[in-house]
Amino acid sequence: MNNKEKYRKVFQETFEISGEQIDNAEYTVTAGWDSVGHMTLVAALEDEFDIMMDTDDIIDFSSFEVGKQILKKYDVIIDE
Amino acid sequence: MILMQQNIEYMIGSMEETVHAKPLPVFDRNVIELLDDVSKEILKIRNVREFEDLVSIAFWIRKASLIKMKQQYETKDRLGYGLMFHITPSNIPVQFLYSLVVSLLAGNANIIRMSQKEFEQGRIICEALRKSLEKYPSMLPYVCLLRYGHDKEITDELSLKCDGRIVWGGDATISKIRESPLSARAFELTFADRFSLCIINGQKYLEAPSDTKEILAHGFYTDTFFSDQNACNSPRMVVWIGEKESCRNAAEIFWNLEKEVVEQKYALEQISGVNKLLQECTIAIEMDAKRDRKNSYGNYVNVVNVGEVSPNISDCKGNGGLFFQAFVENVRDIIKCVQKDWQTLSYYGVCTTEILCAIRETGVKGIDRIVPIGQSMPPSLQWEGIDFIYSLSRHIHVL
Repeated sequence: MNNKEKYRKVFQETFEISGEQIDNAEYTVTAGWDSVGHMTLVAALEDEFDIMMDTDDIIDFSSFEVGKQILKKYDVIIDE
Repeated sequence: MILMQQNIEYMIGSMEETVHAKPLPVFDRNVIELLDDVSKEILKIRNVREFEDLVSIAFWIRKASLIKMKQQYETKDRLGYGLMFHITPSNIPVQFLYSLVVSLLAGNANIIRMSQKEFEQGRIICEALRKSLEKYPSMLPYVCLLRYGHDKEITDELSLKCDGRIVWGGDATISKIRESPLSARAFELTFADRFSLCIINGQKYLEAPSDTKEILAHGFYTDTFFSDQNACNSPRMVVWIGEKESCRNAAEIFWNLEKEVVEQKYALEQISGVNKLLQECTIAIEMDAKRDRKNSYGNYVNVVNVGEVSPNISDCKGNGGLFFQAFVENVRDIIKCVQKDWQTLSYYGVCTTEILCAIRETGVKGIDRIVPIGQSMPPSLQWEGIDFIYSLSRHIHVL
């Protein structure tokens, strides 16, 4: 499984969403992505990519798209 | 020891093994690995998101978070004291895990007396701990969770054996436990009944955009209703600061928004409604207070206007959604009334420096935490002015 598939899988499993819902996922907009859902998402991403995210990045992680840029900092490249 | 075993119900581990466990360095690698695994075990449970307190503590004990905590400490030549005996409360479901975590990180073995009261969170935590300890068997002697009734002999025995005792109150529990002496070298940390409050600048609140007001309503819910106001950091009083008219308008908006959140999320027990009414009447007699009848917030949110802030307000206890409300002109009007048992001050639209200055200048003994609304619950290694890592470990002084 490549990084893009892994990244999508985390969103799919955390929020039980699929297809375009994943691409459009956004904090407080996507059902389940509230402050509690955010913690489970971050923990799942750290686990999946074996990274440890900084507090600022955790706070800034506000959508599926923004997340890709943040993960770059940890050498996790989502879109080749 | 053998005689009393029949009265003890073990959830995890055994007392025999735990009393012989050796102290560990603070932030020991195995402790971090174990807690990270517990975090994963908790977070992978399907319905875990129903329990915000549980997700919050599981998130706090994941590896990335623990390593960040470790970096803030001087860990060289620092070891746990040995055996800690914890008495954990019946009103906060995840408190026993918190107590265990801080003490493990400080390098101690732990015997934890859990409450007899059953919580779903407690069951999930025990299950997660069991699974994780199977993967990290070297940590088994460091965790012993047990339950027993009001049996002084058992408390006596454990108190004499331990190197330190942590008692999560209230005051009555602390008095009871103190009937059991500690050994000469042992120490004790006690967390007694506390009073917490929330202060809001009325004008700033009125000026806040509507989504901020929504966030504040949810944050206030987390601080209060989530634990039925049983947590010592749950505000019991809301104080509005500034010009009276704008404060009254702000309060009306605030409580109506809160009512909406509470009605969606909270299950009010009938007994709780009756208790609140009783408490309101008692307070009305004792404090010459008035229920805020101008704005009725139903049975969920009960607001009692107590006029001004007074030092004895902390003698009044309300829970399940009973709040005292006062209107003052400035921060100093509140701080001058602070008593030793006042703990958390949560705020919106007020400058923390101003609060700190007022505390310093008036020299009051209370207020250990100043946090934004919605942040009164997240776990931390500091509690009530005490740093658990430094308080529960010894530093070997080398010349």
